[in-house]
Amino acid sequence: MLLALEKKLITLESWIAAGSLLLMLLLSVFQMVIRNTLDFGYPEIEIINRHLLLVCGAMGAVLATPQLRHIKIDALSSFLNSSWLNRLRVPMLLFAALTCAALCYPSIQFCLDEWQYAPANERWTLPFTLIYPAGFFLLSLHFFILCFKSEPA
Amino acid sequence: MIAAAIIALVLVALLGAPLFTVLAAGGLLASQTSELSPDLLIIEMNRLAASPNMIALPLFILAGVIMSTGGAAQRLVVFFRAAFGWLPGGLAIVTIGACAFFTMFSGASGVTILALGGLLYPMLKTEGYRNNFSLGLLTTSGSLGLLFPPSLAILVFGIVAGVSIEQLFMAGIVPGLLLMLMLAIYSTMIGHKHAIPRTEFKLNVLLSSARDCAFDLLLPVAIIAGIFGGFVSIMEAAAVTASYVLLIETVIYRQLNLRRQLLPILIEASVLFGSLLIILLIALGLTNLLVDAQIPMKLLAFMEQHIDSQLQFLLLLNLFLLAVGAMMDIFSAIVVVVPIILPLALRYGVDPVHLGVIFLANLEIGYSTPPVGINLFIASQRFQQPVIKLFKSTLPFLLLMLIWLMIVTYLPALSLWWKD
Repeated sequence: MLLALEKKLITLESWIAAGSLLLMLLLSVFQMVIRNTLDFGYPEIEIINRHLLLVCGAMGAVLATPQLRHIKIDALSSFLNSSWLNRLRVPMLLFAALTCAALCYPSIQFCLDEWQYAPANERWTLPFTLIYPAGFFLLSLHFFILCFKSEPA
Repeated sequence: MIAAAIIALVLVALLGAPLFTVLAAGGLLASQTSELSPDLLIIEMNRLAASPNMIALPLFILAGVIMSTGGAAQRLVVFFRAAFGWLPGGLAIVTIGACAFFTMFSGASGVTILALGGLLYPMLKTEGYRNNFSLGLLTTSGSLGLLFPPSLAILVFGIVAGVSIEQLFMAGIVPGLLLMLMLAIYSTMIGHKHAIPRTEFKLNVLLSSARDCAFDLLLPVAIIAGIFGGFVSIMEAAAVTASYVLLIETVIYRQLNLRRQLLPILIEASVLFGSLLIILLIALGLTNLLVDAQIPMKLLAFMEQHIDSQLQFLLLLNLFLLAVGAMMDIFSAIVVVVPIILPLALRYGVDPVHLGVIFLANLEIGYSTPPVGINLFIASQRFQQPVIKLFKSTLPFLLLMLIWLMIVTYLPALSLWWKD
């Protein structure tokens, strides 16, 4: 069941990541063209792009988890044999899952503060702030699912 | 208690936990011990995500992914071969040029070795180059274009250090060219020593290969002219680059099928960007907490007691950064080390732009140094050779690069010639 859930999540996350990156590219080009030809620009595009950057980055980071493509220092593990690496795999993944889960709380707090104190003209951007708790929750979930899979980390 | 927690986190990082989780745990710990709200970490992340140059990162990454997926690698090899193949050591010079060109856009993530290595390794061997020389050349060439615009490493350094990215781009050009020249001279000597046969220069072949990759060759020229001529911002240059390479690979060269390949390309670029962004934001959030706790100031006070001159500082900096480069990958090193080094460098009168060049030059060498030099591992995978053999093969190149590092470090004019 967990694997089926992971597969569905990856499909959804892939579409969101790809869509936000493509939209970011199209909006940047559009803004540049009108700025250079008509000598004006839409400030909203800058704001939307800033949020799309976070959406794309968060979904990209989430997608990097099942592929085990997060940046690591990894200096000691190259000296360990495969049996030790296998023994360390689940504790490392659990550490990552718990840390991401722990970041959900300040993220939710941040969203609540933003919703409470945002000025009226910026309220339309507030749904984008949900990417923080959603992103950390999904990261935690993917690390957790990895604990149940057999691939070596 | 805090010391034990820090040691545990360092150990977890060295054992291979994702670096962003280690830094995040460090941030949560720091906020707990300094009685600050952990929300600050997210607030800092949100503030940093709004950095105006940040949006250039995913777009340049997208351009690099499109170039690696398309046929740019083959076109460039054909052109450089026609241009330099007739020189003694010609094919080795072709390798240096093509790898540097490709790394500028793809980032020194090992893609160059994967994309060009398979093509150039058999060619070098067929032409009579010794196996060790070919392996060493290809392994070190995997990070050659790191100092040329629009290198991702420069962008990340600029964002983290708060230094003008345009100035960093300008500063990297001469040191980058100098390294290419030094490696090219060495390759010429090797070609001469082993009497490697030279190919005949044919103007018509050069012109036709230049025509075939004219759109690729135009790109760096357009970026440099656009940014330094003040026609486009860094963000706009990134948007133009990404859309330009997408256009040439799909419409002009027809190497990409949009319907089949666009989605995987966008996903791949998002994954590369996401794994970089999360570490960047969390590390910078943590750094600000460290600054609040005055850690860099304490380090500075300690250093001032033991180091008197800029020369001493630079020597120590090189030794430290070479060790960092051998232990950490380039992006982790930038986000973790730059905020600590920067105030020290300023105190000893090192220009932050020059510091950027020194920093990246050290890490460029670190790419091919054990235990975690990523080029060694990627080359080991690509050429099916043991890492230790690859390391031995890279030694003459590393020696040359160390000489180059000394020149770049102690002759700041090479990086800052444009300032006056």
